[in-house]
Amino acid sequence: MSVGESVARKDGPDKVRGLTRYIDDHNPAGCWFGATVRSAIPHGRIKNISFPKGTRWDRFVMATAKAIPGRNCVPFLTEDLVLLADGYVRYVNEPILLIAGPNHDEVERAARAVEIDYEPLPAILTLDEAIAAGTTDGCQVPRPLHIRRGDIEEGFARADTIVEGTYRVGHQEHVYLETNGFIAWWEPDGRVVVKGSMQCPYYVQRALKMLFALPGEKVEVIATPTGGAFGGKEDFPSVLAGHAALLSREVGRPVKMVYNRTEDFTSTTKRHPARVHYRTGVDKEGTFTACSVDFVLDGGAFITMSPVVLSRGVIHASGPYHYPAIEIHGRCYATHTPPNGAFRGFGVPQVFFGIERHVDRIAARLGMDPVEIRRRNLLKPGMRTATGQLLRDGVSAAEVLADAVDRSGYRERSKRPAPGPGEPRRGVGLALYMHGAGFTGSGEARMKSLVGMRLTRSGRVEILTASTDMGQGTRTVFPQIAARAMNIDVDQVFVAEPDTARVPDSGPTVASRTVTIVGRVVQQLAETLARRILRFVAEEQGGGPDGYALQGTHVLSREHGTPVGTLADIAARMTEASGDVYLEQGYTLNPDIRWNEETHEGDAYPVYAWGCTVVEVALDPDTLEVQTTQVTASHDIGTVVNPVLAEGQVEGGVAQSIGYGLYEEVHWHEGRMLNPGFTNYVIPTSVDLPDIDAGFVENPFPDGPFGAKGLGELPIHGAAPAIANAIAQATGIDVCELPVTPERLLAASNAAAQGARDDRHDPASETKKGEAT
Amino acid sequence: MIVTFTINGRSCQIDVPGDHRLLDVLRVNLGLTGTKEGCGEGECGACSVLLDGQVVNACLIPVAQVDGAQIVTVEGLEAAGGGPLQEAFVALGAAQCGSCTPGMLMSAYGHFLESLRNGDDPQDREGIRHALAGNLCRCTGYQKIIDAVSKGYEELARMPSLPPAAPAPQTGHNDPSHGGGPGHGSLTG
Ligand code: FES
Ligand code: FES
Repeated sequence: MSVGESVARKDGPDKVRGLTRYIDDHNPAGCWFGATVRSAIPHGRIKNISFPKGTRWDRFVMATAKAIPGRNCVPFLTEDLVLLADGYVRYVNEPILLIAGPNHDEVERAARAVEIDYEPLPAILTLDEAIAAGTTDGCQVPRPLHIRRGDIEEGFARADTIVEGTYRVGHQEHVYLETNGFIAWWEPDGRVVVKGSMQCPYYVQRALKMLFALPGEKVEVIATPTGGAFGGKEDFPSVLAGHAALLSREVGRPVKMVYNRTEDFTSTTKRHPARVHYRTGVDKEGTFTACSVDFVLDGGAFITMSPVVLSRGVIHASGPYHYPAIEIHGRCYATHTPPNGAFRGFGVPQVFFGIERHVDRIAARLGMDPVEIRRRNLLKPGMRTATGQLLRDGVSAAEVLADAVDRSGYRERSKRPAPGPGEPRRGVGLALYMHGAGFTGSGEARMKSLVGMRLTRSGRVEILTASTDMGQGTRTVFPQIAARAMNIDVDQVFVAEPDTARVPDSGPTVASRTVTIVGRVVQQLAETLARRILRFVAEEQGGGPDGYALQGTHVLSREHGTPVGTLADIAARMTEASGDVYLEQGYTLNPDIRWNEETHEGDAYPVYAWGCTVVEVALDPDTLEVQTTQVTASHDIGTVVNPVLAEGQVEGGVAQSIGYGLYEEVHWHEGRMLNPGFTNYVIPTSVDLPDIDAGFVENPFPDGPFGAKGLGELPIHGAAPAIANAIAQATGIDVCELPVTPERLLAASNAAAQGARDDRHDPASETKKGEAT
Repeated sequence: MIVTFTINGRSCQIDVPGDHRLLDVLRVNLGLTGTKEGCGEGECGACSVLLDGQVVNACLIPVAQVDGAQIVTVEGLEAAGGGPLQEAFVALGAAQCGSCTPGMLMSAYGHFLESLRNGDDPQDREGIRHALAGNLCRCTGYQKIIDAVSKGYEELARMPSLPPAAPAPQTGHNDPSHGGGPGHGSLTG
């Protein structure tokens, strides 16, 4: 019975002793170090690359795009991203040339000594500029997406009030504590092996196949223990692995490339900046009649993951609410800035900041309670989402809202007496949200994630999967699922190192899909393996397989309740009799799921997980600094496989969302990141966060392993909008842009004062029925 | 220059330029890769070690500065008395990705030792938050870390004899697991 128990993480003991070997802890004999020469300008042509005197260039080995034996392309959904710029650059810090040498510091110095002449071209550097320009020269964009449901005109015509608002968010950096790193080498048989920090070994394999024109069996990718990722090691590792492998091919030795913090900040992907506009019709009772959403993303200079980030944002843009009529339009623009990529939440935190702020502002307009307006409009079983998905069971918007409101003492806290002069102003705010687990639509049917399972000779069960452990606990929860399915001890089960030469393609470790999708296959395989063991015992000992059962480390006779042998002995005899006991199976998506990618209609996800976060803030009236003083979260992730690990995911997600809400902001100048360090890109420290109360509502999902849904991304949606709502409650200042820094608060409060004076410029314009907007 | 110091109870002599960072000497020359580099600028605490019983960022310390000093890294934490903290980190889920964990543990143990020296109560939750403010963690929201530090302190306080502020030198031969790096340091027992 290990599902539902807080089994201590299996990699914990090594991690606390400093024995876990991350990529930077490996130094193969004879290894050289690689560095990257990057573009100094955001857009332009490369006229000349020169190697000035003063450096012994003969001691280094270099590679440009010309050295790539296959295609100069790192494929994601499209094939536009280049491994190395070839004569033309599209963002500051785009890689142009790679350089390797035996000494790390010397290579770094040499890389800085390379001189590049450019012919600069006009650059588009912000989302607003891109929108104004229409499109970006030299970059591609994904196709726009549209969702339409119901009679939108009729819906607005029926509204008593229409509320509009525009909400903006900027970049967010992942700040995994372990920076990106790889070691690559070539075997004498022509195989390339790369080892590093990543989420998706088979994405890296696919990229290397294309770059080096090699078949899959010639490309081995090994995921080392990954020191945090949050989506940031979904896409970017394919680039760095390509760089290290290319240099290694030129040098003829292993090459190690581990970014320092500055390079990781300036040169890797970030969360997409976005602007989302809501126009919502609402009747006198506070019921939504119609909604029109315009969602715009900044994709950066290459498409990479943007089409799916856009799609996920668009699908979630209606929030956990029901609308008789809705239209959602999504577009992605290109800018001459580093490509934006996957980041926990994947387009959804951007829209939830908008929707959850907007709903509070509608409530304020109507003089309604924020809880009540949500309760009135939230999705319930039997309703359809914006994509037309009929929600059956497992819809917990009402439950998580009630739970978070109760446990946080929201009601009492929102009725606090006004503070005395100089005292901090306290406010409480909430946000309600959901997240679709797994790939969108029929993605999981196409992916057919494979998992392998082996009974070792010593009676242990080995799970072979490409799902990596970046801290979220794959190596612990998969064994829990298998142990429960087989009724054996969790210590009997372990997860193999993710190495493409050994593990099948279970798909990427993304999209909150690991437990609910890949874990489901683990459960099914474990059930099959248990049956196979019992059949073998029955053949040996007589009777039918039903006469036996697994328990702990033994097989028992059901009739007598006594052990007939240890798993170890039986496994040894099984392997003796029939060789390697290995099973492999793929994921089967529920065949009832229907999805139209063209129109974005149908069952967007196999299941949604639900959440509500309540945040209390204290605002210093003099400095306008905001401190979070209490966080209460309630999440329905179906069955909780491991409560301590699940709480850890929630607490970490809340912390990142508080960072997004209050502190984290990338500053740019002419396409260059100005704050690539911890001194000026500020993430929450232990003194910035309050205690976080992470609770769960368990509404099991029948198609998930023992009822589990996805969890990883969900908790990042709530705290940022809840903070802005709490600030509005405390001060009346309506902040519509993140992060809510003192500067931004001051600007918003000045704008509000100005707006009150001329009564024109309130960002949430309200119009009565029939009035023009 | 030749630098001599005690590392995790063993004395060690090493010939390196004196301006090399202690962090590199530990990780590369001595193969003690448990100490992590998160920023190299003294801002994240991933490289925290104990230097004569005080928490320092090994990325900011030129190795010349540690001549004659006693250094404890995460590999020596258990022997130095910090085992209960390590156990609590595992039991309460305080390590997720684990990158911040070694530094976090060293800061937590340093805070405990310092509280003892100053006669303060190490258990004060705000005090723990402040002691760990220089150690960034991106995975946990610090909740389970603070819970685990608190539990570890409870266990430490229960121990019959309080741990020495810095570990006593141990005898014994080189531990081969410490010799992984291609460096030219020597550990002598
Ligand atoms: S690596 Fe030393 S403080 Fe970050
Ligand atoms: S556990 Fe990942 S940074 Fe702390």
